Amino acid sequence: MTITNKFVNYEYDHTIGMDDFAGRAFRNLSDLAVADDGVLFVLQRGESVHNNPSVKICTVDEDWIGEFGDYGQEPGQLMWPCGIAISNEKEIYVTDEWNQKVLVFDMEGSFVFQWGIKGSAEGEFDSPSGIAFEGSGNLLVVDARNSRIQRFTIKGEYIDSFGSHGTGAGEFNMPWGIAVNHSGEIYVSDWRNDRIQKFTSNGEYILEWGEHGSNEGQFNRPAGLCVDEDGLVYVADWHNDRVQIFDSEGSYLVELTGDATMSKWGAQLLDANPLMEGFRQTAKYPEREGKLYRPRSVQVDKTGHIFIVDSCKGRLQIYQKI
Amino acid sequence: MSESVNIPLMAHLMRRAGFGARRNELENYCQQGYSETVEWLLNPSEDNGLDEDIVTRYYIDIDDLRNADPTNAWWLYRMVNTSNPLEEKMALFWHGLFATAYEKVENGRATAEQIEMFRSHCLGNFRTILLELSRDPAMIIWLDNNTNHKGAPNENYGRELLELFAMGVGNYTEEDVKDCARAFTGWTIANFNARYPWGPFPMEFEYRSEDHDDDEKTFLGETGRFNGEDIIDIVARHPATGRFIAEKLYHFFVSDDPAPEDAVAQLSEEYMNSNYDIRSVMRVLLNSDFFKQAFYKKVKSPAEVVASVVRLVGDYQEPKPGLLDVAYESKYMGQELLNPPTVEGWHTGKEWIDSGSLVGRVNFASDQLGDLGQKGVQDIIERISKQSGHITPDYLVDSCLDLVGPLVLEDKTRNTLVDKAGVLGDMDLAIDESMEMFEMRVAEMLQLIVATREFQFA
Repeated sequence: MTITNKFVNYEYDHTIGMDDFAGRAFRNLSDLAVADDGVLFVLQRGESVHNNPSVKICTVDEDWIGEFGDYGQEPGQLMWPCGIAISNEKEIYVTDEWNQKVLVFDMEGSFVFQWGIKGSAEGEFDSPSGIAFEGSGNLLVVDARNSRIQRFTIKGEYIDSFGSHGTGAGEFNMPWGIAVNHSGEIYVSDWRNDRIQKFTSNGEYILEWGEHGSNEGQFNRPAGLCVDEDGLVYVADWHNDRVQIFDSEGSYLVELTGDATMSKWGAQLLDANPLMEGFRQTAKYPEREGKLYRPRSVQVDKTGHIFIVDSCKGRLQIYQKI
Repeated sequence: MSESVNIPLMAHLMRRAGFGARRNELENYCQQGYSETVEWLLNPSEDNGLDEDIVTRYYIDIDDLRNADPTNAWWLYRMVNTSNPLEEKMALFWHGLFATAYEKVENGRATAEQIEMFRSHCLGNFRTILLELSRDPAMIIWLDNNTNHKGAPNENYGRELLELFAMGVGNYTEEDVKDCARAFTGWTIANFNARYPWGPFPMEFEYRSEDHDDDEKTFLGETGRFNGEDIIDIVARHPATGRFIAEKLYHFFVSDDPAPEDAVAQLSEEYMNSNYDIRSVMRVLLNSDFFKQAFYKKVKSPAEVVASVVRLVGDYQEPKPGLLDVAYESKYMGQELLNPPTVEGWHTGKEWIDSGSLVGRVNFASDQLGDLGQKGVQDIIERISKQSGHITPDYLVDSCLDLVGPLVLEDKTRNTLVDKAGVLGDMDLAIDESMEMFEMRVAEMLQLIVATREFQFA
């Protein structure tokens, strides 16, 4: 499947994952980080109250590596993990919206350190969600319920912040995702205002686009977002069940709505359970199986892969920019 | 009528037509007036005040509704926070009447969609409700109508439609059941078992004309080539259906005691006169004297205990961890929503209470109302302290009873509470160190009150 307009072309590549909570499977997906070596760190939330949230690790070829993460409020434990990113120093940073923390793990999943308490003062959080590293190595954290973006060193030392609550330029209503382009400019998905805002690296407002709706360029609660090597912006348009792609100024280019084909893990499950495959073959409108359902995040890697976190389907859909 | 007279009646209305109300809400409703509040309840707003986008942002599993647990948790959250309380209460009524269990359906979204269907039509036309019910995928699986075929009918749905859902035993014959079932042949679903590897395909109602028995049928004295819609037309307009619905509404909203004939007559007459409009019937019920005089005539169901206590203490007004654990409390007390024990639903009234469930009910309420960190408990403390700086044992007991209910206890029980409060004597809140002691004594009194017999009634 090739998705194209006159400026860009995307080809569906493959799908990773199957739906289940434990082990080699995904459920309640929140975010994804792609390491330089192509290893994927997939962030999974617990159920309403319990079950372990975890970071699941696999390759882009769907080889399972393992997972880490414990539920709780002790150092190194997670309750409501939301955002994940990997630093230049090869450490994994995870935000936790309930524990009000940023936690740091090494690439093997060992806990390194954490910071953050609930509050609205400098360095404090009220529902930290999306995170992204700047080229300088500093970390930007979306402080959702404080309606601001906070900047920290990789050691968790507060640097500065921008944003306040509202609907005007530079104001936010429960922002979620954040991304930085090669020039250091910052994009924020202003979730409850149904728009994307663009800022200079200093947090000065540049422009915005979007409004509530389901047409091109409109949003129904934009969640995670990312920027590719060419400066194109990818937005997980959560409750419109799609990813929209824009140029760096917010002009709409194209959308991805999902084309999932059978994953390796899914095929292995069905091969081992012919009855399941039989049931699947009886499905009415089988083409719907491939559509995105509540995508919460989208990430790109340096080779032009676009990874869509298809949250409520328990899978990642991968496209290739061509 | 003054506000002080109105508060107990308004609290009664909100216990029955909702899941209770905090004192400030009751005061606002009293300002509005009784009949105006009834009209507000009967006409739910499109905005239910729930901020569903925020709920699903934080509870990913509620965004998904993959299985019964998040669906259950979401329903509790709705009961606690909705600004359309009667909508949720009616959904609970229909869920009890058209009892469908996830255990057999095994599809969380289909189960959630059935409850949403109950909300959408909760105060609508009973014919429409029966039609939607007959097309509901969860119900079709639950009562096997997907195996009800032309030439090989499965009578399960047809029988329960008449016996348990709309008319009651004695109002139809065995032959009616058979022809009713034949009329619903071909009413089935798509995507029954397709669910791997990424979760269930959405189940959908499907009418298969080639599997429908289109031959002549005789049903409740009428003859024709009836399809399911025709059966529902006949059922909806039958006088027995009016009486059946009147009795079911009376037992759910008014009293655990047998429904008196005059009340049933009033409600069933309105059912027929309004062309089976449930809103009209509920308007008559909620404005009736028999309803207004039925204080504490019903044992609270476990779901009512949990939702009303959480609402009273002001917990879970926003998403936070632990919601499913709270939803499970209702299950531990004997009512697992979305999983009724049989198609008959739950046995209600005094059958809600046994030694195990009573301990669970008291412990849950006691834990919540004894928690000084709860906003609603602090509100009670603040109200009592603002009314008087000098707190006598009688005043402490009566104030707590007033703000929890208002609740009227037997003299013997009240005197026991006063004696307990009297052990530590009066309190003068002008003395700084008294405040902390006062808060603890209020919390202790609230914990004792929820252990009384009277607190178990709505």
